Amino acid sequence: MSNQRSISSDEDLLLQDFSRNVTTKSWVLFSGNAAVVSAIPLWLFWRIHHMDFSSYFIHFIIGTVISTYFLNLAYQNMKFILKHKIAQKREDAVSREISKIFANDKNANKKDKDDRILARKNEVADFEATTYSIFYNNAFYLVCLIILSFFVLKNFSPTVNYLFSVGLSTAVVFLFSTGQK
Amino acid sequence: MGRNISMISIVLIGFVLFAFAKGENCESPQFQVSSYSTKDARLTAESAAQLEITIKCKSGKQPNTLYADMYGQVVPCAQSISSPGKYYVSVAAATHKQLAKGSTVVKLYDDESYSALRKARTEDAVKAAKPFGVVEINHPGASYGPWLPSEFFAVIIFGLIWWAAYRERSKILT
Repeated sequence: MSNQRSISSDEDLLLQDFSRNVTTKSWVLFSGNAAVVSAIPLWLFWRIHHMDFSSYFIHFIIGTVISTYFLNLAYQNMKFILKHKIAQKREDAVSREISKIFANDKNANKKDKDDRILARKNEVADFEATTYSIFYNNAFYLVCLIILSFFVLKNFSPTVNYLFSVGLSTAVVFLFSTGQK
Repeated sequence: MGRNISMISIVLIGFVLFAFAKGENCESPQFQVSSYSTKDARLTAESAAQLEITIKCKSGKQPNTLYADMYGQVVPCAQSISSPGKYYVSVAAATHKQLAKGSTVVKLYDDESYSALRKARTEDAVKAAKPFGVVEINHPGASYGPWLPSEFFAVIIFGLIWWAAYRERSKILT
């Protein structure tokens, strides 16, 4: 019975490792970042395109909420794609690091060591994928936003400019995050 | 006879008064200048420059009329009724390039020096005519804005960051 439970918890861990679901900590980090990055265009449209906050707050709220939601999804997608690739690339280095720790410990069995390697590898890959996903998507989102708002839609009214530049940038970032390459 | 003498004396007194009145000129004038000239070429079609000259004389008497030799043209200056001693002169050019950039000397003439200038027939005589005062106007030139707009720099910087991130991502995914 105990053995069965342990297998089941191992499977859960494995499933969690391969699922798109993120931990609460990651989710909070992603949401916070997405909210901050979605709020950056507000300054741009308020100060440079002269959109008054009190007159356009409904547009601003809609734009920020939608872009926060989709940027959050884009972060998660990108993290999922990157995590396993990073884990593969870091495997050797992590094995070496753990082997050094276990070198002096004669009593440790192989399973413990493998578990430690797996846990450490996941930890490293998770951290790198999270931070890299945030960085890449933010950079991509801001490039799209500047190009759309200052070059493509510059002759449109500020309202159209805001809604379309934020909406299209978010859509582009989200679509590209689902690709594998 | 006595009547004639009194008439002559009145005329003489008149001349004397007139001479005194004309003689009371502005002595050792001090000039204070504030100027404006067109700075933004994108919003305007023509360049204009304006000078506000405040003259303080030791005797307290201001020149009745002031003429300014600005960019080769002698024009009378406008005067302020509310604040005496302030004179205004302006110039407009059809294009932004016509208004000379940098510091330009503006010669000022009062009645006396202006009449001397008018009488001068030769080039040398015009040069020799002593102006009432000399002030300077500084026109930095009308600006068309930065050569490259700031949004272009923003795109280049963010584009480079994104490109570096994209290359790194490709390396991870291969």
